[in-house]
This record gives sequence, C-alpha cells and structure tokens, in this order.
Amino acid sequence: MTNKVKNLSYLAYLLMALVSTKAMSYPHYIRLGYVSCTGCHYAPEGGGLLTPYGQGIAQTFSLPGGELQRSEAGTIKKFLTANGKLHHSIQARYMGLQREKKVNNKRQRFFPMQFDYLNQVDWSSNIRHEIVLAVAPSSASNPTNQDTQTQNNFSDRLYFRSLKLEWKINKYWRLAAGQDNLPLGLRLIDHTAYIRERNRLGVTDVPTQLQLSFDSSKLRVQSALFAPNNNDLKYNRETGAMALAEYSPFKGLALGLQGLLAEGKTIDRKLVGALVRAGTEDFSILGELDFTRRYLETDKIDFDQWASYLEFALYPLNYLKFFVHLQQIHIQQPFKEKEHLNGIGTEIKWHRYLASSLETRLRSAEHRSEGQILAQMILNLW
Amino acid sequence: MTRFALLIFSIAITCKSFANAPSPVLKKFQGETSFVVETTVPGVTVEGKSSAFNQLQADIEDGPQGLALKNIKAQILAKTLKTGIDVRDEHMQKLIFEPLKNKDNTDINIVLEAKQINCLPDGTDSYSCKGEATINIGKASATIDDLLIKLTKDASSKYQGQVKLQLGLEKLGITPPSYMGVTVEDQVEVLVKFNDK
Repeated sequence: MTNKVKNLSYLAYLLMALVSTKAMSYPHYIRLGYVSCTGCHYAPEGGGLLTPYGQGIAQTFSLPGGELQRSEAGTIKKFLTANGKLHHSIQARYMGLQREKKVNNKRQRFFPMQFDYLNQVDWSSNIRHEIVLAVAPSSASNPTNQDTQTQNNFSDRLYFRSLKLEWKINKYWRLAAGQDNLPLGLRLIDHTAYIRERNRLGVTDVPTQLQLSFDSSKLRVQSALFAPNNNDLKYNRETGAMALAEYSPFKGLALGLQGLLAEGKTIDRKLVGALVRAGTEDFSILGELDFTRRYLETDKIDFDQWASYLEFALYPLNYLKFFVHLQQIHIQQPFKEKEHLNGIGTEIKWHRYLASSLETRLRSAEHRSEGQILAQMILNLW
Repeated sequence: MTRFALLIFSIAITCKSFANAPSPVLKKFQGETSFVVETTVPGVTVEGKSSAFNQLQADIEDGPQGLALKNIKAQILAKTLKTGIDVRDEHMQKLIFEPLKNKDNTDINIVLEAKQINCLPDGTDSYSCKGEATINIGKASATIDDLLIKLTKDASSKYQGQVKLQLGLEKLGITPPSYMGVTVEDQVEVLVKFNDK
C-alpha cells in the first residue's frame, strides 16, 4: 500500500470515527424472528449501513447490552452528517492466521483483512445512494500474488464494493441500480466460504446491476439483472440474471430457493440453490446448498459444481456465540476438486462497535489436510 | 282424551330431551398465549408469548349433539409476556401496560372472557365456534366482536382448542409504540391454545 493511500485511510478512519454508523449482516437473526434485513439495514439484502433500529439491536446484543442511549447531535455532528441525511461508517477486520504447515517459511500471519468506508445520503425519504469504498487485502486484489510479505499489507487498490442508487417504491418494493455483490445466498461475512468464493461472491465480485427487491413479514425476494463492471478482468466478465425467494412459514424458520443464469467470456453458469435459516432464542441453523452447471467455452464442455454450507450455533448469552460449520465443495473434471472445510469457534460482541472471533478449521481434500486457527477483531464504527 | 294424551306425550318428549341435554362442565386447562403484531418495517414483526396463566377455564357441553363451549375465561399477568429480546420486553411493559395500571398500582392482569358462544362441527373432528368477548387489560377494556374458537376431543376424551382474536390497540386507548423509526401496527393477533392433557 502506498503511503499516500495509507495516510488517507488513517485520516478517513479518524474523521469517520466521530460520525459513523455500521455494516455486516446477521442471517442467524432469524432466531429472533427477523426474516428480512430491512429492519436493521438500509439495504434490503443486508450488510452496509445500519438503520437507527439496527443500531439499537447492535447495542442490545453486545456485552454492555441494554438500550442505546441517544444524545442530541451537536453542531459539528449536525454539520458533518448534513443534519442527519448523510451517514458514515467504518468497517474493518484484522486477522491473525496460524497454519499447521509453513507457507513461504511462515506459520503465522497477521494482516488487515478489510478496511471499508461506507457512505449514504438520503436524498429524500425514498431515494438514497450507498457507497462502500474498500481497500482490498493484497491477495484479494491480485489473485496471482502469493507472496506472504506482500499479503500482510493492504493493497494500494481502492475499489467500490458498493456504489448504487436506490428508490424505495413503497413499503415493500425497492429498485436499485449500480454495482454491488449479487444479493445471492446466505450473505455470510466470511468471503472465503465456498458458497461465496466459488459462486463469484467474493469481495471484489461487484457486477453492475439493476436490483428489484420485495420484503414483507413472511416473504422476501431479491432479483437482479447484471453485467460486468469496469474493474472486472476480461476473462471474468459475465452478464446474467438472478433471483432469490425466501419464505417464512412461522417464526424462526425461513426457507429459500435461488437461481442464476450467467453468460461469461470463458464460462457460462447455471446455478440453483436452496437455503434454510432456522432458530430459537438460543440456537440457530444456517444452511445453503448450491448446484452449478458450468459450460467451458474454450473446450465446449459442461462440468458441475456442488457447494454447501451448514452452521449450527448456540447463544448462551446475547453477546456470545459458539458455532460449528461444515462446508463442502465438489467440482467435476476438468477442474476436479473435492474438499471439506469444517470449523468450530466462538464469537463475542464486546461492544456495539467491536467484536472478535476465534476459530479452528480443518481443510481436507483427498490426499491432504491442513489445520488453521483464525483470530479476528472486527470493528464497526457507526 | 286424545288431546290430553298428546299433551302428556309432548311433555314426556320435552322432559326427555332436557334430560339428555348435558349440563356444562367447568374444565380447567393449561395452555399458552401468543401474540403477533406487524410493524411499519416489513420483516420486523413483534411476537411474544407466555404460558403462566392464573386462570384458564371453560364450560364445556359434551353430549350426543356434539361439543359446545359456553363460557371461557383466561387470565394472565402482563409481565409474564416475553418477546425474546429483553429491551423490547421493557418497552412493551413501559409503553403498553404501565399506562393501563389501576390506581392501586398492582400488577396488570389481562383477562379475556367470552360468553354466548355458538359451536358447529366443521366437518373434521373439530368444532368451530364464534362468539363475542371482552378483554380487560388493567383499567382498559374492549369488546371483541369476532372471536374464532376451535375445539377438539381426542380419543382419550381430552379436550384441546384455541381461541383467536384481533385486538386493536387504539380501541384500548393505547397509542401504538415506536422505537427508533419502527412503529407497531394497531392490530394485534392474539392466540390462546389450551388443553386438559
């Protein structure tokens, strides 16, 4: 990362710490009866900035708990937030990774995983724009970069993780245009999960899209028409359509189906998937199973991919989570791959702005396996 | 003579049918009540429940004509209702129930009483009943015009059923509360499930 970008990031961090509002989606909040994300997030697909109600929930489910006490905004805050119409947030993650085997002579790595600046302006009661400006970790911004030392630093690449304009048509319908992650799947925070990474839902997969969404107390629908964005590498460019529908027959259960059709420069994708979110106050289950048939343009062949995610979590306290996740990816020839990734861990929300997690993972394939310990500090300033 | 015989016969028939009509039996039940209320934000629904009834009873007629409910009374302490989030429970107590406290400042009871209920078999092994009811919450009270009741008797002669009703908050003099931009709607769906198992 160049010094200029680094200094700008620190400056932005300090400035926004004064006036910010947060991100991150919690699909497991189905256990509290939240089917859709719109109660806590401005964005119907979750993540991004928190609504005032979401800020209250973030406080309630943190270690101090209780009610978020709001003080009257001072002159500076009123000025910096354009009298409450301009919202800011900083979202950052710092990660420590301990590997069983050495990679480039090192077992341990400590690196900034994420540093995003989020901005939103409410142009009217129905129209808002959302910007998420991110600094990518080196490995994410350049897949060919495997040098550990370089990976420990931020890349000098700034990019828009989200840049879109949204029109809230009425209480239930929203239309948005711009670039963002596709509103597909469980929307896990972990971008390395197979259901994200292998379905082109990584941190830099932000196609240009037109999104239409519907949210009611029992049903949520996300749909999008998408095309490449300017930053996509030539061979990654794809155009297509997707839809996800999730229905909650009763409190604590949501069942979903999703589909995607995409035509790319090198690969065409057809994806169908099923989702389940269930839970009670102290327990939750998240599950996703995706089947993708891909067509390799160059070789004129089809091959299939199965990706799955299953998470069981316990919440002995509001701010404490113990979880186990089981993941699997299976890809047919010519990219034959069969791998499992299972993990067990805990997450604590120390404060409405600060959380940490510790997880042990075992990644295993046919003839190899590797254990990892991941520790994360997650900062969400709003 | 013929007229007299007919009169005696009619009296005898009437007496017989009265003799067949079972007298209602007061049954005490256990059960659970739950409520659901939508909010101005889609996907944010407030649901709560309690099973700590002080009183849950009904007069049941069980005869050759089938099952019939005559009276129902359900009473529960408002403070036992839980929504799953402590802060929300506090808000509910503070904004909904506290203003309805009686002068003596005692704990608020929610009392549902239904009378003059008509039941008809619904073609399955259940009976569908309709009736009117009054609900008292502290010092507030409202009439419920549309009460839906289902009643079933299983093979072991145990009764179970449910009472469903819509309750308007404003009808009770309660302004629908609001928290950080999310306001609950006026109509609350209330369900009382009961059984004598």
